[in-house]
Amino acid sequence: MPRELLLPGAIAGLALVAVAVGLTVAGGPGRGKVEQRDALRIGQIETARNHVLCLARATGDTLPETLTDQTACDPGDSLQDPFTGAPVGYEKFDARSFQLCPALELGDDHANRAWVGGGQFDAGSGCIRYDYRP
Amino acid sequence: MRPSDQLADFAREALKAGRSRDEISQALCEAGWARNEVEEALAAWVDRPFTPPIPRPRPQLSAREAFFYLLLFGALGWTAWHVTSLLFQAVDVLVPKPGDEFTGWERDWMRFSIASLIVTTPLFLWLHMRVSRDVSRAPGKRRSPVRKWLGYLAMFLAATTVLGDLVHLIYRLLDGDLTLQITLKSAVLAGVAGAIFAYFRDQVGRDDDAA
Repeated sequence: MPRELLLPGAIAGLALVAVAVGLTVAGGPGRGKVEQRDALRIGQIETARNHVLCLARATGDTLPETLTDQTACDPGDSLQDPFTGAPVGYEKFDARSFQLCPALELGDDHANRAWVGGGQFDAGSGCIRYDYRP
Repeated sequence: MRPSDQLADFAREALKAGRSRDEISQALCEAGWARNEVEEALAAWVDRPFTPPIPRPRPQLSAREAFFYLLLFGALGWTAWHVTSLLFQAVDVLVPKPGDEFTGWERDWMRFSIASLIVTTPLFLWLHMRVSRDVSRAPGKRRSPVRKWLGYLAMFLAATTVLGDLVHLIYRLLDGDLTLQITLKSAVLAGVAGAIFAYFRDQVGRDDDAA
């Protein structure tokens, strides 16, 4: 390599290493698409949560056992995964708490926590736990 | 007329009149001009017997040159910033502090840095080759003041970064808080700043050799 290009080449090499390391750590476009899909799923969970709260209010402040009865409240598309159509998981723990489980592709990603509004995100299961306060 | 113009005008007229450089120098110094001002005024003319005196080439500033040098400076600065940022994030992930989490915002920032490098690094290389080609075709461009000023400014910034980095490292050591994460980040910063310093030192050094 000519001397003229030695130092600029070294700087470009450093940048190349940084890009390679960055892509390894942050992930490429494929990972980015998955994150976008998960962000949308978590955004949709807010609507699903409102549906659960609506059902609870409609039945005298009792959290529903399942989300199959939709006569009192309309959940729209919020109970289905927007990409696969798989049902959103629901589990009632007790009279005052429940969880919703969207089919996240990166369930264990801490980054998803930032998108969760009023609930507590469990990175292990990818579910979001909510408290119900009538 | 500015004092420096007066001095340059006097030096020219005196040389034209056939006065020796020693005579001119002595007369000006006796009149109160500083030695370096006198030397600078005389250095503007070639030291050989010829009438009228032959002017030496002077640095010139052109808007086109300023555009390319500022773009080169900016591209390199942006590249250096994002190389450092990316490698810092990588160190945070590879050698995390207890309780540290790699958040979505950090991941997004890394992607912004990657995108920046994909654009600015080739731009820097292209500008470097273009400027080098221009300078080799017309060596007078080595006297460009914007080239010299930006070169020394970049070296100043790189040198103060390395010094600040060193102070921080020693401070953390004395504070009993020198971790592998901090040491690696210091090494990254020193490496990037050192490369920038070496680059501009090489460029400006060649200019000084050629002057």
